[in-house]
This record gives sequence, structure tokens and C-alpha cells, in this order.
Amino acid sequence: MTGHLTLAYIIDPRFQGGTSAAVAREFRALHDLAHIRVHAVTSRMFRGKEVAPVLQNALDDLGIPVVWDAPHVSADTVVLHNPAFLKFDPPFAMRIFARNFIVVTHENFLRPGGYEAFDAGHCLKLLDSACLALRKTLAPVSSHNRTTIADWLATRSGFDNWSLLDTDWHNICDFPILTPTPAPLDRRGRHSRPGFEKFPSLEQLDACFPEHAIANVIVGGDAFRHESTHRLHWTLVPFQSIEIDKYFEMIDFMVYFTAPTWRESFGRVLAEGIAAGKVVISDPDTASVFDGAVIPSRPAEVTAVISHFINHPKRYAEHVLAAQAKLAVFSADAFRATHGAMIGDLPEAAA
Amino acid sequence: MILVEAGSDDDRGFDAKIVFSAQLAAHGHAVVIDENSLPAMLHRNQKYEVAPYLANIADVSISRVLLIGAEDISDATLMRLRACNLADVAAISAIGDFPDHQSLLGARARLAYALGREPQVVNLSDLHKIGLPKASIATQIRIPPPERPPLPTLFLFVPGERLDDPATLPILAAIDDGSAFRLTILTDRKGKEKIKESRFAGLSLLGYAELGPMTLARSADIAVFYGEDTLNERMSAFAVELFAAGKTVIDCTSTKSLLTDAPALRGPDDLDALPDYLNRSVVPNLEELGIHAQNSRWTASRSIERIEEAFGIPQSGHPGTTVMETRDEARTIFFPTNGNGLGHAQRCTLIAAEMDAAERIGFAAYPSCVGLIRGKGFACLPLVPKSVDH
Repeated sequence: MTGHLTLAYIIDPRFQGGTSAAVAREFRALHDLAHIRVHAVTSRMFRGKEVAPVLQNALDDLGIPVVWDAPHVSADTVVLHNPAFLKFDPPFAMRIFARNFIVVTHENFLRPGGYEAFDAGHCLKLLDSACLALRKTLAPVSSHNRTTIADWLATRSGFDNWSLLDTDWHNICDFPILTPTPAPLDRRGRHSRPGFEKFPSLEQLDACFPEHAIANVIVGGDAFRHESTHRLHWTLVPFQSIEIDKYFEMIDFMVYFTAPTWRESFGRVLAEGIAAGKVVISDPDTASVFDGAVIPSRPAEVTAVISHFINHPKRYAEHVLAAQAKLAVFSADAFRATHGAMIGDLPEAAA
Repeated sequence: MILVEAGSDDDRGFDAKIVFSAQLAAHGHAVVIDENSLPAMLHRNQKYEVAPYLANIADVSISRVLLIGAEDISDATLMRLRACNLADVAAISAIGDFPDHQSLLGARARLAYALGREPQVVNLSDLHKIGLPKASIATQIRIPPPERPPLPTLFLFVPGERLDDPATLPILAAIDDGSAFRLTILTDRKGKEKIKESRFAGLSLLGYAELGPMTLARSADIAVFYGEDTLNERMSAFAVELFAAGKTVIDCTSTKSLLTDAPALRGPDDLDALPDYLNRSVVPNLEELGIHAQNSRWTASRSIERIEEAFGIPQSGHPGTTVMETRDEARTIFFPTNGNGLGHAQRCTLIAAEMDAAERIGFAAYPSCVGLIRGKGFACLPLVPKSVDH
């Protein structure tokens, strides 16, 4: 059932990775709550890229046309995903008119140590100048993301007209739930795109994926094929060269640490690992998003954590099942319940 | 030791590392360049310039990484730095010419991700407060001005394609024939070949990469730059060294890239107007022009002390003491290198024996001559003969 309320999205649909998948799921989750329009922006950030297939599929399935670089967008609620796509752009030519303008902050504003992750001030100023709205809201995607936004706002002036949404605009995670193995083995793995930010130091990777493990599968570890970093006991799989379910069949433990100078804003890959029936281990900041479903640890402690679960397979299954239950807060139903009400709570558009 | 790196992993980046390393070393800093960053092809002169700084990083103790050209950091540079295992290095410092805040943030993030630690990043335009010629990614140091010789030395930079005009060489020859200057032409390989094959082969000639920018700056009193493009890395550094030394730079390039903020003079576009311009406007005012250039705010902002201050690098030694020699300390070096050198070597020893201050006389000769020369009582450095690798 489609309501009379208008909901316009502004995105650069060429962004790849988890953000695209999350936005695509959001279209599907809200399609019957409001009349959705999608406005695409040709930003400099994704120059030369194609529209993310997962987004294109969702738009095609839902019959939603995309309008590129419209001079103006007007709707009851306008949602812009990932303002970072404007970081290389000059003043924004598009004009936005809305009762409610929501900017979903898919990237952390600050990196560990308080360093600016990108020129968020520039992006917000572009949007401020381009938008006339009764309410302008920043919507964090997780508790950790929220902390970086709040800390950034606290140390800057000129952004008092932006409010922070009370509830997280989480990624919708509705991966198939698989049964955990009753007999876990020391088979470890991780998957990500190949960027340096996604990986810790070589020393820490050695601690995470030691020689004594039965398997060490690293998807996206393209950079480690160099002879000085190559480990014979690692199975390096180039990014996007393997079906994700095949990769999950090769592991029982997902060990995911990033460069100390970067953090996931949400960590969709961790939710993926939980749903696939694996024990997922990560750093405390990243793990905090998942309320105990991800085990917080340090690289030096990973082997001890894994040994514990191997020696106590019942606890492995119990942890995974409990973790999978916690994924419900990231479901499409939870998203509709939380944000659908906000989108729906507006005066109906004039006939 | 300071490990000097460049953002771009190409020939230009490597040349910039050489120029900047020489400037740091002249200022008393111990500098090293990663031998793994050597490009596949190295110009003959670059081999000798870079040789003092090359090292296997695993064999030296690095106190700091100083990366220039941070506005454009290649994946290859990041991969190589990551493989260097710089965990024990005290500081990672980066300088770049960032057009906006996002560029600086992006560069800092890329280094932080690859190295696992936060670098100090300085925007070159903040350091200098005024814009640089776009071609330059190295930074410059002061050197004290030398005593001026009786005739000003004019270095004239002319790109090879400019010499395709048949009128150019006769004009250069006329400038050389005139008694007002000691002319040296700086050009590229194409230009050198053209001049050597012409009837003007007697012109004093240098390839622009044959000598380092600081060496060129010590020799020149006036430098004139012609060309269609902005100056390359070496010529930019040469120009800035001249300003710092209180010498005169004249911009005759079509882009006038030096004139934006630097204390360079605007010269005539036509080469045949140059001698008159120099004689009337420049030479009579050489000293005042030099003082103006040396004392300008632009020049003052480009001292190596600015970089030391920005990154907290302890000053080491005194500027120029390892480089400059006064006339009282001049030495004479004989190079009897024609043929086997034996005949020339013997005759040179006879001449040397008649000279005063024998302790300031030395020889550099082929190995076949070393014994003879040393037997005459003179110090002699053996030279490596030219090989197919040169």
C-alpha cells in the first residue's frame, strides 16, 4: 500500500560496498509506506564508477525511476545518504525543499584519536546552503558513528541548526540465518575490500591468523601477495572473486580488525558473519555496535578466545544463536517500526 | 637519519627527493633515500647525485620519515612505506601543496591507514603563506651569497624545442660574444645535442640535470628562464636557491609562473631583446635586485628552518658550512683525463709544482696515472673511467 506522503532520496548510486546494500534494502523496506522518488547526483567522488548492482536491482524490482542531477528536489521527507560523497564537490547546484531533511551519516566524522575523517564541515555547509527545510537532522548509523558525530559537533560552531536523530538509522541486515556448526574447528577468516584502512599491521595479522590454525582465509587481502608479506599459511582470495557463502563454508571464526587509525561506522560484514553462523571477533569500538553479538578483543588475545570455543563447542553454538537473535534490531521490520513512524508522522500532502 | 620520500613514485618524484635530500644535507641533516625506490632508468648525473644518500632501509636507523609532494601519494609509495616497518620511527612527517582542506585530510588518512599511525601533515602554502611555482615539490634553504666576480655569470635556461627556431642560436652566440656576461646555457638533452652539432658548439653548455640546483645557484649571478611550460622540479629549486642567495631571476617563460608572488623580474619574450634589457635594466641594479630578492617575504618563508620548526626537527649544523668555500679556501684540482692521461698527468704535475699553496692542490686521474702523480708528491683520487653503464 502506498501512502500519499512523499519521500525523496538523494544519493550517488555509484557508491559500492555495504552502504549500497543497506540503501537498497531500505528502498524495499519503505516502498509501501510512502511514494519514493530517487534522485541521483553525479559527484566527483565516484567519477567513472557504475551504479552499484545491488541498488540497480532494487530500483528495477520496485519500478523506481532515477532522476539524475535534478535542479530541485521537494518532498515531505528528503533523505540523503552519506554526505561524504560531496567532499570533492564545489557548491551544490541542486535545491532541496522539505519539511524534514535527514542526512544519514554512513561515514564516521572522526577517526580514532579525534582526527577528521573527511571534510564534513564542507559537506554540511553545501547542504545547508542548498536546502530549505523545517528540520535538518543528522542520522547516525550506529552508536559508534553517533559518538563521532556528537564529538565533531561539540568542537565546531555554525552547525547548531542540525539536530541529531535520537535513534540510529541502522543498516538493514536481513541476511539468511544459518545454523552454527556443532563442532567448530580453528578455521579463521575475514572479508573486506582491499584498502589499507581495512587491515591492521602485519604483526597483528600474524597474531590473528597464525600458522597453527587449520585455515586462515583472507578475502580482499590482495596487498599481501607481495613477497615480503606473503604467508604460506594464509589463503589469500582476491576481493569479489568468491561467492560469500563459499567463503563462509571455509571458516568457523571471523576475525576482523582494522587499521588502528580507522573504524567501521557500522560493520555490515560483521552482521553478515553472525548471520552465517560464525563467532565474530573484533575490536571493542566496532564490537560495541552489536551489543555483545560480536566478541570484543585484541589481536594478541584472539587465539585464546578461539581456543575457548573450540574446547567448549556448546558455548560456541549458544553464543552464535544469541548473537543471531540480537540481529533482529537491524531487521527491516525494526527499521520500519523505528523510522517508518517518523516518515509517516507528517501532514498528508494536498490532493 | 631522515628518510626522504616523495608522494609520487615516478621519475619526477624521485628527482624531487634528490633535490630535497641535497638541500637537507647541506643544512647539516643526515639523510637517506630508500634504494628500493630507485626508478628503472636513472639519468647518468642522477646516479652520482643520489649515490651519497642511497641505503638499504633495513641497515640504517631511521629517526624520521619526511615525505614531500604529499598532495599526490601513489599506492606504490604507500605499499613500499608499509613494507619498511616504520614502527620504531619517531615521527612520520608529510608536506604537500593541498588545494583544500579535504585534500589534506585525504593525504593524512591515506598515510595513517597504510602506516597504522598518524603523520604530521603540513600544508606547504601555510608554511610559505604565498603560492609556489606549481612544478616544485621540494623546498628550499638559504645559502650565504658568494663574493661577486667582475663579470656577472648569466645562466640562460632554454628548452630544446626553442632551439628549433634557426634564429635562436645566433642570438645566443651574440650574447656570448658580448663582453657583458659570462654565459652558460642550460638546456635539455635535445638542446645539448642540437647545439653540439651546430657551428655554435663552443657555447658554454650544461644539461639542466647535470648539476644540482644548489651547485648551479653558487655559480650563477643571473638566471633567465625561457620556455612554454611551468618550470620543472630542478629549475624551480634553482630559482628559489638564487633568491635565497641574493641573486637575480628573470622570468621569460610564456606562463610567467615565477611571477605570481616570487621576487622574479619579468623579462622580454623575445630573446633578441634580452641583451639590451639585461644591460640597461638588470646589470646596473644587480646588487639592489639581489638584496630585494633575498630580503623578500617570499624568500624568507622558504627557509629550511620553517620546516624544522613545523615538524620539531632539531637543527643540525649551520646552513651552508658543509657547502660554501670562500675564495681564501679555494682549491685547485687537476683532471688529466684525455686519452690514458699519462702525458697530460705528467705535464700537470710540472705545472702544479710551480704553483703556490701546494697543500691546496689535488689530482683526480685514471688509475694508470695515480702512481705517477702520487710519486710527484700530490694527493690523487682515482677516477672511474666511463663505461657502458654511463
